[in-house]
Amino acid sequence: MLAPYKPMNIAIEGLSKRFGKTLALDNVTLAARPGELLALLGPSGSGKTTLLRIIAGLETGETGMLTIGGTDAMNLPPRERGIGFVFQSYALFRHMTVFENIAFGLRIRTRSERPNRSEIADRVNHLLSLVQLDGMGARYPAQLSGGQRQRVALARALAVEPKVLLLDEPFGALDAKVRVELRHWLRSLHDRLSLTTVFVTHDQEEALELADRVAILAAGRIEQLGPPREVYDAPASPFVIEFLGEVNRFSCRVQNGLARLALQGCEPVAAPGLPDALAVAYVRPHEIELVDAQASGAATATVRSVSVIGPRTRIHLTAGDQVIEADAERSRAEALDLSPGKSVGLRFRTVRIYPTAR
Amino acid sequence: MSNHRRPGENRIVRFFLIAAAVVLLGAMLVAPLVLLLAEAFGKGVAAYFDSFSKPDTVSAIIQTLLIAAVVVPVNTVFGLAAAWCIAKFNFPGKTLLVSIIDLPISVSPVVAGLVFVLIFGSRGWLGPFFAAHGIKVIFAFPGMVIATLFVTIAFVARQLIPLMQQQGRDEEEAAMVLGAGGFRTFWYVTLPNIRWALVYGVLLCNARAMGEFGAVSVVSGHIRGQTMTMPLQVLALYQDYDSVGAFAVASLLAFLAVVTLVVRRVLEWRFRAELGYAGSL
Repeated sequence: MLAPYKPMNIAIEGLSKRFGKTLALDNVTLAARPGELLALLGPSGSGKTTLLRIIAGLETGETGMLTIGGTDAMNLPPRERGIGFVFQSYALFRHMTVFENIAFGLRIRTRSERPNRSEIADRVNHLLSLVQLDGMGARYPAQLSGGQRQRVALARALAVEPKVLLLDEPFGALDAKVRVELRHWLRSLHDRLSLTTVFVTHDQEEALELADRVAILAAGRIEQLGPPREVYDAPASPFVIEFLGEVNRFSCRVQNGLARLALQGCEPVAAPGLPDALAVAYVRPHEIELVDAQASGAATATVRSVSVIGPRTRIHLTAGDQVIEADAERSRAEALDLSPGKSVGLRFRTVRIYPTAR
Repeated sequence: MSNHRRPGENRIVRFFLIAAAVVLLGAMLVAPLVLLLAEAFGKGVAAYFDSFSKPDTVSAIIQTLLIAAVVVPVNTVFGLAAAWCIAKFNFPGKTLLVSIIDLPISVSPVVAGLVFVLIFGSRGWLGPFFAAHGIKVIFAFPGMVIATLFVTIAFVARQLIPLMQQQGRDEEEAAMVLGAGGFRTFWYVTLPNIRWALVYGVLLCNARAMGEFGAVSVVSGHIRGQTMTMPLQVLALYQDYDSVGAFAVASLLAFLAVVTLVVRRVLEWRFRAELGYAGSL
């Protein structure tokens, strides 16, 4: 049976990695708390997979420190780090059955550390039921669906009772419906095991929904680290807000703590603490309120097209050269009788302003 | 099924193409094989088996088996190592290594044999050195082994490289993370994934090692009863007008080829997915 996990932490300090001339990781400092589910979120090339592989020992970091459960792991080979790793491709051993795949990590141990046959069988069967694959032990990976393979990979990683679990794009190769199901299942599994888990994803929705905390990476640096709500509500940089879903970007000028957006009729927005200079303002589509064109203090824009997406309506607008995307509930859009060519007023519920030069 | 004919599916054209292929195959492959057996058994079964009791022929068969016994394991290990490096790692000079491995396939075996004469011959670069230590390379067993090694060096590696490249490194990495060291990873993960391609590469290597004529001919010196291999013995017997003897030895080589072919077919049919692109060589 699986012993209850003693949650371990992972601590990384000042980690850098270079591939040829590109700096894949630039002085990264990050810690995963014991028992937490941490997401590494970023676009491709941001260094998130490299970071995960360095934790696993599949790549070597150049400078910096890495400890897993308090043990210095920087110079340990992968097999001595006590990690479970789930590959994006699952990397199941194709010539072994599901049972043999899961048992592999136990069977290859030296005789003194290896559980006996029946213990191995017990543990594998327990894991099979944990990942809801009872009775599938005799199948080969090629005979399984994508979601089943993913769960075999997870069971195989858990079989060696790792100190921490690392998942590389765990849902990347699955279709949309299976992806969402498996996401919920993984979250509930994590809540039961409370095993410190780090997963890599490029899907912001996945990271925000699943993780306790999200680390957002860009060009080898951590842009922001925090709980999903915090990174979404208070993005630390233009990169973060642009990466976390759709957003409208406006240029503006800050003067005496007030930002004036380059939009006809738009009221100045408070921008406390920002220096007098050019700046950028961001407004998410659902933070735009559509009002009558004559309403006071509202920016005016022209409707270009209206598309209905399920319960919501997406309105494409222009104001001069500026393209604006707005979301409204269908009832609201219908009440305003929006049609291409019509003028409407825009009020911004939330505006986030960042200085242009960093 | 559609009633429309696919392009090019003209019955007459199809008939002539198939007929041409059958005639060509029959004339070039089947007929020679039948004739070969007819000649070998031309003076009866007893004469056929009798020809294997001649000391020179026995010596040639033993020489061939000994050469293969050295060459095939060496080139299997080399092929595995080279394919492993090329398929699983990036390093400077990788493309050069791939080209060099392919070189023996594109060079005429006779040229290869001559090169070894130039290197190890009595007036070659290393010849005097070996002679001073009492080792005869050219016109002796070591030279024949070296020539055969050269000619067959790429056979195993070429079977493995495309397959191993296609399989990637993920499974090996997974094994390492699960606690396997280098040897266990190779033994339990890498080797089973390539076993059929490896078997096939070894078979091809063996067939070529036993059948090689050109390079071995140049370095062997054709000393009867000493430095003859089966292919060389076939020619020698034939030139002696001993056609039963010549074709009897040739039938062994033909048998080897047929076995290789059958095993290849079986492996391809049974383990198509595992062989990957390997069957296309």
